[in-house]
Amino acid sequence: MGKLGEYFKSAIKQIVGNGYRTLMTMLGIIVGIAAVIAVVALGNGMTQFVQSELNGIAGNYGEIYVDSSKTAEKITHDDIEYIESNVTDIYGVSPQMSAYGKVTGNRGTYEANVMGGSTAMEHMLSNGIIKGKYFNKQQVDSSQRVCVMLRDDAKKIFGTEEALGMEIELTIWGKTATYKVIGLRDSMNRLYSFIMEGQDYSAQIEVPYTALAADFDYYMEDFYSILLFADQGVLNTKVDEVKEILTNRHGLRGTKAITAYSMADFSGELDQILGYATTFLLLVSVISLVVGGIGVMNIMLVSVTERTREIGIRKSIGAKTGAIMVQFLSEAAILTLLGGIIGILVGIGMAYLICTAIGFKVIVTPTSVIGAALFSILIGLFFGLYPARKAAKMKPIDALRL
Amino acid sequence: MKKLVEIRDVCKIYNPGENEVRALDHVSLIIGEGEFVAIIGQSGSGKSTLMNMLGCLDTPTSGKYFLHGQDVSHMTDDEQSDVRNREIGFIFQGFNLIPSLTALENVELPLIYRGVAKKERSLLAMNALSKVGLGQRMTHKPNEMSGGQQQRVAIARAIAQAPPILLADEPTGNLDSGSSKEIIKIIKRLYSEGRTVIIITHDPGIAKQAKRIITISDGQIVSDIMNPDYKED
Repeated sequence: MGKLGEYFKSAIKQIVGNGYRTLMTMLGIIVGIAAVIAVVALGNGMTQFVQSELNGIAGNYGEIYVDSSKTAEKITHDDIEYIESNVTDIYGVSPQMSAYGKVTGNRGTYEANVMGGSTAMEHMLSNGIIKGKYFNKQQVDSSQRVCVMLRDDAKKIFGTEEALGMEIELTIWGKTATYKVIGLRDSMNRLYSFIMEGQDYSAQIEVPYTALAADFDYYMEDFYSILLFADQGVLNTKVDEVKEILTNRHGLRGTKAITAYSMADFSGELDQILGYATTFLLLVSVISLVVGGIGVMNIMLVSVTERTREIGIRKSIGAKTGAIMVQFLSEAAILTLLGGIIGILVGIGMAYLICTAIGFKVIVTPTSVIGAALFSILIGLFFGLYPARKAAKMKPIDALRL
Repeated sequence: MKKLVEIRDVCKIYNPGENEVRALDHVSLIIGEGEFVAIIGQSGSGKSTLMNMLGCLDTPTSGKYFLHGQDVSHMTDDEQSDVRNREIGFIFQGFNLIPSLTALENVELPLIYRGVAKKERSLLAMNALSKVGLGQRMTHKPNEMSGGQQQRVAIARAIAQAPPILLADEPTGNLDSGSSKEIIKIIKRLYSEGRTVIIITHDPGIAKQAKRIITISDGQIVSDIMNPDYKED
């Protein structure tokens, strides 16, 4: 299509020739597209950030519990053993106990959130052990007074990260026992600190549940709930599997007495919420694009009026309706595409600035870039249609008379 | 002589009703191939309407217009565009060049609309520009040229694709006498090369240059004579 090429060329010439006005016209499109790109990048970054941090805090676990209003059955040690030896692809299951108390080291006394579990509880948090070891099965079985704490907590309690082998005093319900530090976890991530900001700080101490039960009079013959640890990808299926096993073993079919909740559900829900937020922001930026499009239409209308004579000349020497139409449409489309490209660059720049400032990863997907470019062309075609038709329908004598 | 243009009983009425204006009142006219005609009349005589009619820029209220034996009086917009492109080269009083394009690009324009390929197009356009003595100014824009030069570009544009008819509407109206003479000289030369030339003017001095002079007044042809004073250059 040699002709089409000529129309494009003349459109580009017109756009370049009217530099200042072109830029002003494009401004709306630039801002709109930049906003879309930035919002999408920000949304992606936010989702990714929240997901990874959430796994960091919440970890990869599900909780299976007995509804005591529906049955008197409880989860037994036999159940736990059976699950651990029969369900594949899990890190393990653990009873869960938790208590608030105080922890005392050589640097002072702090509030403490003490969690009791078995050796599988190591997988509850994604911040792994960086020094020493988590308590093993033998230590759990023999109720040893050992504990694992966060690196930051060790610094507070002992004034040093070299806390392995040091001792703390745990005080819960008026009773006190001495525990030895055998492992340190890496610090909590930023989302956690963000959530915990302004709250009273309490140290996080993990101990074998057997020791917790023995020292502070917790009941540990059977349990209302257990935790199951597995990777996110299989978590939901594994939680369901364990639910089935427990239902069958206790003859609770049809009672719905065993229920479960997994962190995978939670992060799914959160994903959805974040998705809504992103969609909403996207909608707002699309509105600004439409406003930009109307701006383009206005300028094109002005341009048609200004160039009435040119249209008349072109028609008098043989331009058909279609040719004039294509000329003005391609002018509008090129204008908005150009605005779109600048907008994409500005948007990526904005995304970088904002994301780095907040600390999100910058995720600009090719889909959003190509989508934005195509969308800007579409805006040009759509909003250019009316002015182009107006130009094309002009009668040559009317156009020349001016 | 073969008939090129034939107008039969054409009327053009503006504002039909009580205040109607009969710009053309039952005009009939035949112009043969290779003629050199001047249509002269005062302003308001209907000569511009006649020119629009001849140039397929307007359609008659009644009557018929045959160009090359083909009825072109009631064509669609796009069909008329095609006829203008193929058959007629316009030379306007106000030059009507597109200001953002160079001389060469202006001359190429009708060829683009005709679909002539790039190479052939620039060759034809360059030839046309050389013919009017502007071979050296192809890359100039209209505002970088004098009125006479601009009109020469317009003539080049009109002849680039070799249409059978050259339709000139007051071609010297915006020019000084020196440039006017030059333009008339070019037009005469084009005529002598075999083109049919129709000049619309109010200036008897210009009309006198043509071989046949048609006088129009109040929308009617009042005289149609062969110019006794016609001189070949």
